Amino acid sequence: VGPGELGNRLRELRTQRGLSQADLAVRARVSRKTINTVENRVFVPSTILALRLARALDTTVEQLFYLTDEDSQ
Amino acid sequence: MGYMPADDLQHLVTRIEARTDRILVASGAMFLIWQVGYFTVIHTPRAAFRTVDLVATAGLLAWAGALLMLVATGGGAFRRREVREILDDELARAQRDRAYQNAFWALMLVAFAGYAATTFVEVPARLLAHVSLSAGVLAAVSTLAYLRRR
Repeated sequence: VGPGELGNRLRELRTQRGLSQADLAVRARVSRKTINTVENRVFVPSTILALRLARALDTTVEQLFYLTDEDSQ
Repeated sequence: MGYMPADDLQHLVTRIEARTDRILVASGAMFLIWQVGYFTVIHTPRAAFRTVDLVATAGLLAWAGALLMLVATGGGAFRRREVREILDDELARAQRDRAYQNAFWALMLVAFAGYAATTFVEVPARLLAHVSLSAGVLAAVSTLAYLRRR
């Protein structure tokens, strides 16, 4: 993942809450594969999915996603 | 049919996805191999069209149609709505869009090459249609099979 790309703390926050990828998939109404590809930064989710994931983890989109150049500052 | 628990739903979706992945790879590879057979036989002129040619054409069209249907639905065409919705989630739609893009460019490539070839040689319409259909189907299926395995 290069500078300015989208990073996320999905795995970190998911495991903190004791959820499996399948559990989170159920909550966000997507497939487990979608959760896996977002976590591994293979797939960049839309705003709608980002909001749904944040809600499913009881957090904010800003907590969940960040730009990688912001992360290094 | 009644309510399905969310965990069971996810389990079912995972099984359908895995089965679709296998079908895409196996059937796509067989479709490609079948093309080799198609181009290595000498085709009978249209005037002497035989029943076997009709069966082969119908078989090819049915096969291509089934593969395109698989690309379009992700293997959940005849499932209940809640299963279809998860099989057609945001990732699935993005992958399918990419498969359609590549199929479009494969078709354009065939159209360009076919058009250029007609300047120098006679290109039968049937051959051009066959190559166009096969290129489009193979581009879509191979793209989707690759993306789904990442």
